[in-house]
Amino acid sequence: MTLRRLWRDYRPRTLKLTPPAGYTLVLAAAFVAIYVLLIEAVLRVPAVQSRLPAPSVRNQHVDFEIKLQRLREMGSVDCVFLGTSIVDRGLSPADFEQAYQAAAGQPITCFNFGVDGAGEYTGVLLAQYVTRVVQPRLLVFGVSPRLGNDGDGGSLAALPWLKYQQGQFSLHGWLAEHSRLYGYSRPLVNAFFNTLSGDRRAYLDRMILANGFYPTDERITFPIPSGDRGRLERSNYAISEAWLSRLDEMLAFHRPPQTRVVIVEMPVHPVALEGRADRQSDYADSMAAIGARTEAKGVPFFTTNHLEALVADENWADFNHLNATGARVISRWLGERVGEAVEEGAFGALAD
Amino acid sequence: MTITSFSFAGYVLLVLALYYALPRRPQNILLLVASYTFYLTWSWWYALVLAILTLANFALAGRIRAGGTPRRAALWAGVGINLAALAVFKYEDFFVPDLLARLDTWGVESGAGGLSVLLPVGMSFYIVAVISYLIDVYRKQVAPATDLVDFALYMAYFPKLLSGPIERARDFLPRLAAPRVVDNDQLARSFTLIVLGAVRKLVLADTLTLMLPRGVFANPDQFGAPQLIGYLLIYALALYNDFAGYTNIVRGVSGLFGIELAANFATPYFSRNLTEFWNRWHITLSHWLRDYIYFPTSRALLRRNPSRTNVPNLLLPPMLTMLASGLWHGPGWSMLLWGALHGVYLVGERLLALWRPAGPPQHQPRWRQTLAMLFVVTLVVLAWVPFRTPDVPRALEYWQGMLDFSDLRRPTVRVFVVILPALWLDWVQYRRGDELVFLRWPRLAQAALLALAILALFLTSQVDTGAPFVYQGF
Repeated sequence: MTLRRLWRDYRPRTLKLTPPAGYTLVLAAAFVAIYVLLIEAVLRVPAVQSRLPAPSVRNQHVDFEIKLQRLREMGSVDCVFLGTSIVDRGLSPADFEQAYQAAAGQPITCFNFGVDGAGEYTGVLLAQYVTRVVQPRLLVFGVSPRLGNDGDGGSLAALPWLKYQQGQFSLHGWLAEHSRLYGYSRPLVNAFFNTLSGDRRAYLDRMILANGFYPTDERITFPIPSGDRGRLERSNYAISEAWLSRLDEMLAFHRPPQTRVVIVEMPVHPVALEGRADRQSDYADSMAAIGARTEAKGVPFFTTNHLEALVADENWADFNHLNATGARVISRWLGERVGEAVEEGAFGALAD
Repeated sequence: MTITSFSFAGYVLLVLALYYALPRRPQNILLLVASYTFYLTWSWWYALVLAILTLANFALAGRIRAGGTPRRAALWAGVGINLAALAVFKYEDFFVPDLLARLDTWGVESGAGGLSVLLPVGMSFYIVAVISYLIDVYRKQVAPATDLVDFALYMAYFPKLLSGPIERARDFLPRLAAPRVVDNDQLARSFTLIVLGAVRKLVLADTLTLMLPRGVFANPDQFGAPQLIGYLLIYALALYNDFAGYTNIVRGVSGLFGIELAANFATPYFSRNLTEFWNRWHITLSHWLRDYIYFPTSRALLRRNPSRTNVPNLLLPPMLTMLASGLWHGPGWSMLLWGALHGVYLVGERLLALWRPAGPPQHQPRWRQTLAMLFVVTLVVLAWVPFRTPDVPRALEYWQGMLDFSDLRRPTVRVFVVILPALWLDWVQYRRGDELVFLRWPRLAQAALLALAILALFLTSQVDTGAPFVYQGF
């Protein structure tokens, strides 16, 4: 009796829904599905796609999204360059192809997939993606022990889309790979409203070539700006075991005849090797350690800091990055070396 | 936790789940705990200030009720404490540096800097609400709250805590005591308000704000007249949709708890005179200013001289009211200029009414109503200049720039993609005189529009913006 009375007096009675509740919501969901299907269909029409900016996979690296689109547009690629901005701006596929063809006597198609901030760890993840999707015969990893180890790879490596490519399912990853509405909405809306990232995307869209190369005509200035000077002073050439284990992961892609790997040391301006006495010795030790690992796996390793042609300031955008002039020099040199290796039979054919 | 975040949506759902499972009395306790928890996500300091002011006002209202001569003293003490708190937190940047500089010129050692305190979010709103409560208790228009939980909830109720609406205790406290029902209709109304609010804030206001170039109000000399005029119109629409969107969302959220909150906007840009504008724009503040500043000032002046044409009777009530409104919006001469401008508008309107009395605007011919709307919108939009510019010289520069047509660059026409839906939304609501007009549409049309709204929300969520609500800054 008391319990019944308590229940009568105190039972919850705020929510009083009667069927059919939420019918409009169900209808709206059906409309959303219809709209989405229509938009997805329209965005898959090639004539429409050709007028749109690069679709987004939802990260801060606009350059990465543009390069991803360029890579998809190229379709078939024989070799891919991987690394950070030093590769992005430092290796020209066109110059590499020209020098390679002159040396090896056969054409080759290359793509620069270097991305700002994509260090060794991210480079390995991207290498997994490109080997699966475009199956290149040659992977060129541009490395610099001075940059150290990028740990878990930062924001790019944490990208759901990239994780989805590694087999880790997530809704964002799935949508970024399969939905055109999801992919195009951000760049379209940002371009429409002229947001900062819309402006940056438009700028990079103009700058990044069809082969992924991002040539810059900047020129190093002296004295070195304070921000760069700080980074320069903190430069450390001592190589870590963690870094070497990343190198091992890169070397693991070397599975001839399907895929071959080349490791190339991306150079730094001579000023970066001056200063502290231990820099030269650390540098020499690092090069020796990389050389030993690559040799053990039968992977060619090209050092570049001895190249006299690169010493002049006109080749450098800053102490760390080559400009378009420097990129041409090193790309031709590298294309020639790889071409010679093929010609001499050290490498199998890199193109069909 | 901002009210357009997913974390806020999750928080509301969690509180609702508990709320619906409770009988009425513990529901208020739950809402109070939820309100303070919500406020703590902003700062423990804000919650502490609110708690102290709540206890002080609860005690003072009791003293005001007690009777005898201390009633008036208790009222003034209450109003004084609340205004002092507002002065310390909100206006110290405005008057302390001036005061210190003046003391220095008089040779008084004042030390350096101000008090550097942070204005608790929502303080301007709950302070004016509680002042109205004390005055109403004094006027015996409302019985003082005897239940501390209900009173504390009146002060802290989280849907209205950040930026209002400014509820009167005489309306709000009975709602807290009454049984609440959330049925199909209430759910539909609340959901519609939330969707409308989200569309206004995220789709309309945020994207319009994005289209305003940086520095247009700080450096108007870098823009031509067509740009300055265009950007001012964009700002006017963005500001309105921002605050109206916020109000819609919080009213919708509160509706889910079965507690109605007052409307704050009623298609204000369709007003046919300035008085009507202030009955349609930030209604709860306008009515607060009307009831606690305008009417008392008018009555006091009329007692001295009952003539309606007496100059102080004509000038002082609107000027004082609008200056107080300017001061409430923020410390600074430009806000005072905005308030003064609106005061002048209202005085002008009263003079015009004396010279040529006009009937209610809805009885005027349609063409006259349209012209009046355009005229009012022009005046209101022009007044947004000092509301937005950082100082008075920049406001004057902006107005001056609007007359200089040597540079004919104009804002992008793309802005109409946002402006047209914004105007359509208001037009539909205005024509039917019902903000929830969409609920009268056929179910299929409702669903189609809701789906469009969801898609628009998705698309605009892709824009790189995280603009806070404008009125949260007041």
